[in-house]
Amino acid sequence: MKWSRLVLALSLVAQAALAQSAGPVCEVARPLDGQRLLRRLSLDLRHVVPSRVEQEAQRGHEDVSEATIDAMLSSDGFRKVVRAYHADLLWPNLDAVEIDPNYFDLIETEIAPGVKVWWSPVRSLYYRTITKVFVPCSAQPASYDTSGYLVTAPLIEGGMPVARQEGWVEVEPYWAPGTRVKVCGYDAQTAAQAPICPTGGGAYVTQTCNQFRGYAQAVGFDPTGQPAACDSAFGLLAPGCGCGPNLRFCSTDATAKAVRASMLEQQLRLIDRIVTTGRPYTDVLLAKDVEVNGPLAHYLTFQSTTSFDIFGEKDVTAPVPAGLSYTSPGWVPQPRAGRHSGVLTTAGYLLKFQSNRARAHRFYSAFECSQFVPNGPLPSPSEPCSKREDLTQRCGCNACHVKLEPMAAHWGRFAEYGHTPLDEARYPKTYGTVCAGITNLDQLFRCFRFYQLEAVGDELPFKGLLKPYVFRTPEEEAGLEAGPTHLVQESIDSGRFAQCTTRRVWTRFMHREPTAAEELEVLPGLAQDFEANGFDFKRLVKAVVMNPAYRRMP
Amino acid sequence: MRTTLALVALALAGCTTTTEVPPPPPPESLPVTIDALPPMPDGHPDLPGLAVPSPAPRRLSIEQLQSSLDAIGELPPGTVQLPADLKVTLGQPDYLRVTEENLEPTPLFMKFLGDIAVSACNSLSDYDVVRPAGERVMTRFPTRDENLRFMLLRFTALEGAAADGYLPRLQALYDAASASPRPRAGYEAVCMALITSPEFLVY
Repeated sequence: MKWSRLVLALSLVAQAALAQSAGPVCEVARPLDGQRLLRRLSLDLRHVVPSRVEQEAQRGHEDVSEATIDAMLSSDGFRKVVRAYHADLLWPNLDAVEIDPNYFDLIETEIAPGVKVWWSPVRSLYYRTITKVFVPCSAQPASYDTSGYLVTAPLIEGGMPVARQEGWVEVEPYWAPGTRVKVCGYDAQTAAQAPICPTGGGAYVTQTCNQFRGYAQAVGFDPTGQPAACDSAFGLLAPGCGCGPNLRFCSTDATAKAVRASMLEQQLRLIDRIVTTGRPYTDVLLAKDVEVNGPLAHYLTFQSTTSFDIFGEKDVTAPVPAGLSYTSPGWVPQPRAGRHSGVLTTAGYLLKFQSNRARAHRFYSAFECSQFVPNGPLPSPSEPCSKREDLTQRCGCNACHVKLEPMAAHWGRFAEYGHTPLDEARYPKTYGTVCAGITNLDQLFRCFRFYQLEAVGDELPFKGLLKPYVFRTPEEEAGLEAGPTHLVQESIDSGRFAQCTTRRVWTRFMHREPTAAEELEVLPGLAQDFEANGFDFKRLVKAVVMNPAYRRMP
Repeated sequence: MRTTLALVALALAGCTTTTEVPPPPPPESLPVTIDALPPMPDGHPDLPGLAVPSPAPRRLSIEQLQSSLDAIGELPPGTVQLPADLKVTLGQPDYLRVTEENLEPTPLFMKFLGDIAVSACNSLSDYDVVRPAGERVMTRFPTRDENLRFMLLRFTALEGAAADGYLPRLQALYDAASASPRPRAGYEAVCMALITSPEFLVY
């Protein structure tokens, strides 16, 4: 290794010497020779240097043939380049998004020599804890009383019972069909629904239920004994609920990771198909067709409703194809209808950008190349106009929000902090039918989460509306009800989408922003050609790399 | 010791005199004037002409670096894989904290690139001798100069007259490194020089 370091030191000296080899004459604006042009094209269009064979074929040619460029644009490398380009626009990372609420999270622990069990530490807190927290089940097989309830035994420490423990049962988990694993009895329960807040439900259940009753009784609803769906967040308060058949409602680190990756992959696969098959690039934002794989199908079918924080429901406008299981290989088409609009309504986008403002802002920045810029410092908070609830009226804020709020409204019929549409039947514009006479947990949840129940100041005329309708004018409501497609179509029709895409592609492949002269003389023609030729993304990229400026030395 | 003496002297001065020493006058600023632009080398174009638009130089991304080392080494795609954390450290965006790739050749990046060069070139060198001649990267041809030209072409796309100026320096490096008892040390040194050179790294 020491010798290697010495060699490296020598090589660095030589490298400095290499830099002097160019000679005293500047090569600014000289065209690249054939080999170096081939290298630049290959790195830009495929993310890799040319192969040995390609370099040999290039020998003696000062230019790179159009056929070679076409071949690069049809290569799998270009697909990866297009992915990287769109990753920079869509920021695909959901690591910080809790799609797997912790009470549905299973971990595997060796609780006795040779006895490994899967269990949920948070469920344990609610069901087993007396004074000691995070206690797994006992290392014995579970037993049941004559009524079918799990039999528990106290865990005694220091002469006192600190938890109550059930045994384990064997289950075939959905993530490994054909195998059996040991799962703590509470977690392995298969009920579809169970009553919440029962008497003697455990210290944490009782404590949480008392708080919950306080809120619910304010609207005249007593949740005690109400049936809760075991694949809902309320399932935590129902000791009869577990992970369901084959543990389908629960996740592990590995399954949650696979679901997150699938959500992101779904967006990129849509872009792959559009660009590689030559569909109009506008489809990236408008297409209804997406694909779904096993992990994502399982999540959408069994797990999307489990979280309080991330809202999910069965999306009737994008049904999951029948027959898919978690372990199904590959991807299958998932037709979408309704307000779905390209990547902008995929779970990956909606969960990465969780508020409607964030969704609109990303669209505005990524596909219209525009930014919201404040017009100066905020005025004093004691100014009357600083107290306006409507941000389009609040001074200082209104510089951006007068544009942002109507844009954000286009996602108004998609749940914020969630990934599913809010249809008119279950989520009418006004809360009358939802919040009047609450009789069940589902109604209570919809009422509290989605409607403007209290109102002050500017909000008063909008009391009782579905929250995205608050402060919206009739014209803006039309955009809200049309969905993101309306916003995208406006952008396409105005030319902003084509201009922005052209500018981004130019910047990507020229490795710099366009000059003022290029903005005036080159880009408009490219954008016009892009639009006139069916928004052909590959054609646009080809036009940029065929431009004489691309072929000059840096 | 000098500091101690100075402190003692200062203390003594403070004890024995009350006379205030006037502060030294401020140094006169040196006038800086530019009468004319420095002379340009022969054949240099006029400065206003330098505004001819062309692509800006860009450092290879981590993705490009990995796949290019695969291609140059004639290895199956995906063979060279940096650890995910290291990729982020070297500038690749994770889209959680960083949303734009840092393509600056920072000292940190160059430090790790040096490490990568050592590892990659040693491995390539070891692998070279067990491959058929037609697949070799370092010892493909019978002569040193043919091999150096081949490596220069593969790493930097420089060949012919464009490569002529580089060859003597690579030869010198090869000869110096070949003094090592390690087989093919000359070629390994050239490989490392090329991987860490701007000609490879910037395009």
